[in-house]
Amino acid sequence: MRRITETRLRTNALLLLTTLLIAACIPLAGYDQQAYQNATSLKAATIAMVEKSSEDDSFAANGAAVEDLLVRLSAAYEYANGVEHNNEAAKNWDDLIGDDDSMVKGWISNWRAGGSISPALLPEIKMQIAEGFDTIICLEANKRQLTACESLKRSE
Amino acid sequence: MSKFDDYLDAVMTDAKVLLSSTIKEGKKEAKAILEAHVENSKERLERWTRLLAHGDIKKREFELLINNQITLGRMRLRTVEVIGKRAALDFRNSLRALFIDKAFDIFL
Repeated sequence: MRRITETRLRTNALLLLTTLLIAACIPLAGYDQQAYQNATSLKAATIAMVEKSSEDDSFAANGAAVEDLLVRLSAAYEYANGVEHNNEAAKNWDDLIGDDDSMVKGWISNWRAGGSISPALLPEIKMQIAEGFDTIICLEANKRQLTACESLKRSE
Repeated sequence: MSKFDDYLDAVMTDAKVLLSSTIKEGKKEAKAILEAHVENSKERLERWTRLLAHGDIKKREFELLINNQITLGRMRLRTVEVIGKRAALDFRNSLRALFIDKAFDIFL
């Protein structure tokens, strides 16, 4: 009986130590206030720009402002990418603004090609780009505390 | 049983409760994030198909929306990955505190 108890205790101790060791190796950057602010302020700036994109020939009138926005978005991506153990956040920024298939550059590419986007596309693309930023904001918030994030609940 | 045995037993009992509650919490958040995406996608796809059929959006705009929706799913999955890591780290931190608290209770 005593032997069984000792074996069980040893197993328990080993399990606890193993769990601690595994958890100690989990790579996750801490919550970053700057990253959070980058995402919230650039969300507002990007959505304001999206709202202009259905006006006739609006790309020509806003080309310089679009370039400026892209520079600011790239800076936010570089910031996230430069933080150690921040792989998930950096990849999400890349999906949002990385190449021509990214959400923001895809919208700009359509805007540039047609001079403006269809009015019916505006609410849809606005909702998607806002959700892209919300996902980045939610990821950052979850580094601090577990949350499903109100902004990521059903949109309709 | 020695005091050390009592200590390990007490830690293990509380650790099991802690693990169960941490996993439950992380699972709840992850499920909410992914289920919302599936529901959103269904409704959006129906709406976009109607817009395309009525000529309200162009084909390349429709493709952009579909591509973005797939991207959003990928982004949400990464957020869920972070939830998993956060839950594991929370468990580690609570377990550390448990080791110390129980030692104070039993040995001092």
